[in-house]
Amino acid sequence: MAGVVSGTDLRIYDGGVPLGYATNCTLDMSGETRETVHKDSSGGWSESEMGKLSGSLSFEGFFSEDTTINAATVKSIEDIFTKFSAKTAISWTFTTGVTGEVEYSGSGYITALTMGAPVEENATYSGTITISGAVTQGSAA
Amino acid sequence: MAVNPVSAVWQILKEEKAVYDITRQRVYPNILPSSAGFPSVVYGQVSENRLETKDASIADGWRFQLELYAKNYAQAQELAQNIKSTFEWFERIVKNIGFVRIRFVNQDDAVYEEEKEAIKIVQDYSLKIR
Repeated sequence: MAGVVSGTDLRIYDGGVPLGYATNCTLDMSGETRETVHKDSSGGWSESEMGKLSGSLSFEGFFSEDTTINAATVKSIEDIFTKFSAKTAISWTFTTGVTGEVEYSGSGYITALTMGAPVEENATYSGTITISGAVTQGSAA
Repeated sequence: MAVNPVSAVWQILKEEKAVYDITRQRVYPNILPSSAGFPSVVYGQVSENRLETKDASIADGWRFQLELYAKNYAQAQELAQNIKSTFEWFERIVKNIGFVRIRFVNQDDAVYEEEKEAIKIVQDYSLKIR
């Protein structure tokens, strides 16, 4: 798709089902480095080689027990908690879901889950999926 | 099904005894009729809030305003107090509407209505439906 993608369209899916009433999501990846500075290195600059890659996803949304929104199936707060407490692996994708558009996918576990309930405001949920294994770049089916 | 939150306001004002005893159902939308007696209540929607989520735009409450008219200040204040007692922290299922939650926001003594020869008090409330 040409142009800048709207953040509204990018979502985290668990087994092909999006997390419901989501308001924000991020895919965060990083790589370890191991320093390889040696006596012949250019003065003043470090040198490194890449080591292991790792990543996590974070998600936020409004707290709801709904499993459908506008006739579309979504993951409710109960579904998310069940995966967390059972330590069940998440088969996640980070994508717009539009056929042919870029999709990032992998496996992971929900390692953090927070529920917030401020007075006279909407209740919220947020959490973290720690990625286990490789992140794959592909296209949405 | 589209929800009209302001109709919940009308329904509550008509059915709450404390309000009815004073207004005798002189409750009108948006404009006070020239033939209206006193005390009377005019209600109207001021704003609607919406929240954007990745699934849909969802309703996040409405603001409505009540204009209370009476022939003297004491009567106006009594009506204001009765309505405020009704609406402040209102949390109930309203027939054909759903679970309605109302919060008091503000009350002002408005300028005397010369044409109507009436005291006017304005109250603001927020309303959510779940």
